[in-house]
Amino acid sequence: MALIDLARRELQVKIVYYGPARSGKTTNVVYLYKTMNKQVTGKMVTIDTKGDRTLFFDFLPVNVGKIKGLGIRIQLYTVPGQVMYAATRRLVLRGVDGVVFVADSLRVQRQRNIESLKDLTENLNSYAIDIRTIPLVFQYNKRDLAKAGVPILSVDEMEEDLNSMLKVPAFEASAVLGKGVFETLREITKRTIRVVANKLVK
Amino acid sequence: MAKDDMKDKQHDNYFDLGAAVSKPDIAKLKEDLDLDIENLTKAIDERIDLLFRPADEVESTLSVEQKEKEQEKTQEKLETSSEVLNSVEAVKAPEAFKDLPESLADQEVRKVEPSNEVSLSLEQVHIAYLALDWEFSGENLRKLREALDHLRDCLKPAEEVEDIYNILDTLLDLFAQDENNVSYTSMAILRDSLNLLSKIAQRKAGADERLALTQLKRRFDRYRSQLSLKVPSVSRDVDEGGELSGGESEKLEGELEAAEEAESGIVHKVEAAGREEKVEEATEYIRTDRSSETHAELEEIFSRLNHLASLITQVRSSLERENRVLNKIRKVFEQRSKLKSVADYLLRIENNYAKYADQLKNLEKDLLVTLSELQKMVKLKKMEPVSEKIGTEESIVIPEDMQRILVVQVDGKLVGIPFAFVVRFCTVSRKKLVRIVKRGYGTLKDVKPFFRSIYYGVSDRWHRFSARELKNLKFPLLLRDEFSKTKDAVVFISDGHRYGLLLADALPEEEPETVMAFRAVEDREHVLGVADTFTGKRVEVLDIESILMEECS
Amino acid sequence: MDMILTVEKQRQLEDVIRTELLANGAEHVILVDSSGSLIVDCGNYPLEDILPLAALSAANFGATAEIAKLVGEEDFTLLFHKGEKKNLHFSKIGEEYILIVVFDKSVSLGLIRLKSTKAAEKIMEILGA
Repeated sequence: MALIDLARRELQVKIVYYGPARSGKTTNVVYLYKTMNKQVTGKMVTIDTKGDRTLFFDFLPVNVGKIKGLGIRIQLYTVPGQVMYAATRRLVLRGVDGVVFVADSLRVQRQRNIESLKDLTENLNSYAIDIRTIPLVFQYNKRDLAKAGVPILSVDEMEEDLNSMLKVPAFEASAVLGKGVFETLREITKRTIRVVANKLVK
Repeated sequence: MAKDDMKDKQHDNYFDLGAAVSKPDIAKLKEDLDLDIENLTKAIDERIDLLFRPADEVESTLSVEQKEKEQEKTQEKLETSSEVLNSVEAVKAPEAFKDLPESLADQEVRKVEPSNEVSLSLEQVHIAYLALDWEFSGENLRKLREALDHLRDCLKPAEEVEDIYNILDTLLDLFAQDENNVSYTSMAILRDSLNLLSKIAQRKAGADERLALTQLKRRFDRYRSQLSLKVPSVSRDVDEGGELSGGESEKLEGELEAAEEAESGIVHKVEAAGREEKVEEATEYIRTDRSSETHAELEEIFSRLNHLASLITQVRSSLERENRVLNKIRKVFEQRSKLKSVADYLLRIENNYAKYADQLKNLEKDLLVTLSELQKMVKLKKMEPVSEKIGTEESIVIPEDMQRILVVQVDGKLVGIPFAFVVRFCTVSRKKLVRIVKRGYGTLKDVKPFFRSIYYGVSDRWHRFSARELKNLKFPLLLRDEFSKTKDAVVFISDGHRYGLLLADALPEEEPETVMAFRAVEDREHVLGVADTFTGKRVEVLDIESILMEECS
Repeated sequence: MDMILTVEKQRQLEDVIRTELLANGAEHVILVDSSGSLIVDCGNYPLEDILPLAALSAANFGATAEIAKLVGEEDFTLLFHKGEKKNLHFSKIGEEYILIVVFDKSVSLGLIRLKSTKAAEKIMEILGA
């Protein structure tokens, strides 16, 4: 739920990175945090866990600065992907304005991708948000594994599984190498802000 | 789950744009943003394209705005980190409270000797306080009162005990009357009173505790006089002039403080640097026999009235307490129809007692006013011989700006700064001082303690500024030649238009002092005159206006 | 569906927070919505710490609410974290907002609870929640 602060002349939007466990959501945000200008990002919050799994959420505030007098702040969140964290995922999705669905290109994860997308749809419905209207982009992550000889899904297969109805932009990526991460973020941010700005005008 | 879904759906649709905000606001926003949405979103897209990429790819030409923001942030970071490096100015707790725990709630429950009734009672009080500290409710308030009453029965009657109980009873009454009386100040007084009572009850009272008690009483009186300004009086009778005006009450405060100081004979921390100042006239302090007699008489009357005032307070609070007991008894009687006539009779008595209590309250207020007048007379009498010596131009009427001065020590000499010009004053670390001197000016940020607001320690007059304005004020160093040695304290001064910073060796007092006599002086650069303060200091008063004008023009 | 905060509302909210909480010993107070957006921010802690605080607080509060439901409660009436030097108190305002108060150990929790309740009432009026 976007916040328009007329006092500070700022717009705040929330973008959530969703997807099955270990698909690379946190990797995306960590990469952004490490490589973006420190003027632009604030402190990244990760709740300390013994392993490398997200327990609750990761959070990164991003400040685009003022454009034509209007400041824009983006909150990036990731959700924990494991099945048992369903309640948490729903919690983190609250008030979301835009979603990045990070899908795992590993062939063995094919079903998980589909299930996760279904999970997203249901959670959004519980907030009366339609997945077909909310700003959404896909990221097909781990493309680099092809070179290592690991079986991965083709882009066409993934498009068919996930994007056949929604037909939103999709990006190939390798978050661990930093490929496709910024492209994904740029697109989702532009879309989200456009939608919010248009709502303002109506 | 379904129910939750419904709820969430409601929430999300709740913020109907039309309802939340007026049309003019949106219209204004549209106008302000020059809402050609296309252009705006295009500009946003461009910015996103620019910023959302690895830092080393971003063009080196940042926008002016971002550069400034950068500078600001760096500045802030520097200041924050240097504040951390320098010693933090902690609020000084009164010496006597050094040993007391910060919060009763942090104390562990002590092991109790079952035979010791006082210890048991004390424990009940602590438990009741903990409950109140955790949750402020009528029930917990009542329990604390009960526990305190029980403790009182176990204690030997003593003046200190009575004094603290007066404070506690009044505070608890105030809390019960009106929730708004519960504040940080009143809670702090409650806590400190209980701590002190605890020590006294355990027979651990010594000189420190006596001092602590005096200071506590002072704080409490100050709090009450501030409260009486806000709360209209209960009884109808007081409406005619029972209220104290703002100015009066401040003086009253000051005088009460002064009176108590004089009475308890508190020794000043830093002795006056001596009366060998550069005033040309003779400065010997001579008292004629006659004036000393009158003075003694007045002091006697004053002290008796003071004692009377405290007696009245005690009687009133006892009366109110008894009335509460009577009230409980009456309520029991009312439940039996056969006892109804007795209950009615008791009700009449109750009402009478309440009336007497109110009258006593008014009497207290009147007494306070009388006391203050008397106090003025007493002090003036004391000062008379000196003022004769000062000269014929001297008048008892002291200009308003001169009535309070901040006394500072400079090169072994005492100097006064009219408090009306003081924005903030405090001691500073050597490191900070060097930095300020090197820079050539000081700012309020330099002396702002970590995690405190910029308004902390700043005189009320300057609270009309916004926090940002205060932070941006620069106070250039003044009188560099005269104050050339390395100092320990800083005084931020201003006449409302110009600003400056004075350095001093020390601050003899933590508070500004009341001026009892003042004589203007001609032909002295930067000096307005000579003042005698209530605590008996004789100081030269700086001409702040001329100092500011010279240095800042 | 989105929330607009006007200058007047922001000023009113800050006034309430100042009179009820900051004046009674609170060090820093923030008002956030349930998604973690920072609505009002009063105090001296730096923004770079406040933004994560807002996000974590909202999540914390949300998680606790879920726990409450699991034990058959609508919501817990007290969410309070006691530290060695600093304490944190959370209160829910309406269905969408959370008031978070940071205070040190010299301030009584009962006082903060009392004042938070008062502040919450006034904030509800201002936000029309």
